Amino acid sequence: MRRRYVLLLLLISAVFPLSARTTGYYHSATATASGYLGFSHFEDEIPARTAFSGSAALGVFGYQSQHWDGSLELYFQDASRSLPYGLYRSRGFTSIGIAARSSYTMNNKFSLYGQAGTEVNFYHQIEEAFASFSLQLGGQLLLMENPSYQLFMTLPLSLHLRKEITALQVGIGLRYHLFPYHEGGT
Amino acid sequence: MRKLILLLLSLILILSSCELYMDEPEMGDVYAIMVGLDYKNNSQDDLKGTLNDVDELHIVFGKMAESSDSNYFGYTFKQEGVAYTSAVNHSIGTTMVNAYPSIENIEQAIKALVNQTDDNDLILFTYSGHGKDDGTIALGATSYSDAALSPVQEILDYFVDFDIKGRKLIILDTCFSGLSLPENPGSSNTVLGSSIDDWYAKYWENSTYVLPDMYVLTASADTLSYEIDLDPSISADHRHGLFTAGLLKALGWGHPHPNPDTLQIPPAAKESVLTVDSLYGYILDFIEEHPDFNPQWNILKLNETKQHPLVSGGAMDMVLFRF
Repeated sequence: MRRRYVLLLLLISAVFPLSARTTGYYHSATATASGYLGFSHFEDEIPARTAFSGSAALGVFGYQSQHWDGSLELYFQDASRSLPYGLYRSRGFTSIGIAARSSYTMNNKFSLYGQAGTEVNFYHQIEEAFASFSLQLGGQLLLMENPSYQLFMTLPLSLHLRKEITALQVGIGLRYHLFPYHEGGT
Repeated sequence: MRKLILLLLSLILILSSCELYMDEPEMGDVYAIMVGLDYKNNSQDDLKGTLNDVDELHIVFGKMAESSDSNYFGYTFKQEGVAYTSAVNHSIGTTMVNAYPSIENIEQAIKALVNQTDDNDLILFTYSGHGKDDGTIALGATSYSDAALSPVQEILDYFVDFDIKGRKLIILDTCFSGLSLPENPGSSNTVLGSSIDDWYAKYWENSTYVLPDMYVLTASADTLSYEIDLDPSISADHRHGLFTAGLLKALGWGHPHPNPDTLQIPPAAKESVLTVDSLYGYILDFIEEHPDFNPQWNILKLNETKQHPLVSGGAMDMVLFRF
């Protein structure tokens, strides 16, 4: 059993050798799981309702230089209804949106990023839709890379700005960069 | 900086567990006003399932209230046969109201709830009968030629104008009932037609969402709604509105009728809680299981519409019963 883990680790290390700096055009994929804390703008039974959300983003077009990086992202999010409490529950919904994302590399391992986007949202159970905006700030930790790939762990803090609710999301995710032109690298 | 992060994380942790440490409000009593008409006393087409709707909803709502340890006060208003009045009089609080479903009696019944209900109570209002695409419903007539049309909005306004306390669920099993759905300030209905422009326009609109204490659940959007024979094998059929048949099934009822005492947690309940959404989802599935009333999409019949229930409410779902 332990040998299997060692082999897996060796395989991952071979695919993603560490400490290779990668620059150039890239595509990306991100998956995040978050807690979704909704603060209502109306008088509710409790100050905030707790739900959970999962999101996936595809970076259609991105460019990374030594320190800065920017990307256009298409993303999907699914938020659950809130935990049972009282005489009401907030409704769950699915979102699709676009965002612009930029990050600044602090050192070989860590970068800070910010993201701003807008999305349309569809409630799960009822046929109603609404528009919203979102802002995200976070840190990303480089786990592995080679001249063609990078894998980060992300720690995003997001604001979901809805008309009747502002939600704070705290999560953890993985982000993968693919450099199709294999530019740079040492 | 580190202190700020710790403070932020602590705040998030405290707020995200609001549901765990705050006392939950108690569920209150259940009041139900159920209206059904067979239209045998006027010139409109007779309906055969509406009185069954009323009678069986009365039984099932009573059992639901009992199962969730709530008191139940149910009042049926039926127009049955050729009479223009009812032999039954309801005592609602201190008011006596005749059970014939004229607009005056309905208004009186709603008004009689003033000072009877409190914020945690649940008030159900159901209507089974004809409806028109101008947002009116046909209540109890005063003569054969009287169509007795009243705007749905007038009935919704009674609850607001008389300041009836409690959570209200208005259930309309009638054609075109979706046209009476209150507009939500935060989101737009996609069945009745809206586009991405409307969704963004609504975001910037100068309107405010308040936690709704009145939800409207309708049998159809902007189309006809139908009746269904639940027992086509025998000559004496047993009809219901298709929508109400789904509602009754969602609450654990059916045909042949089960023993009311055996009704427990209804099939539409999730995690032992019955909400407007769980009820709505169940009814939607029930109607989709009946393709006779819902033409499947066909390239040759692009304009064919189907009965599609709707519900109001926006960002929040409302709890009806906790078991």
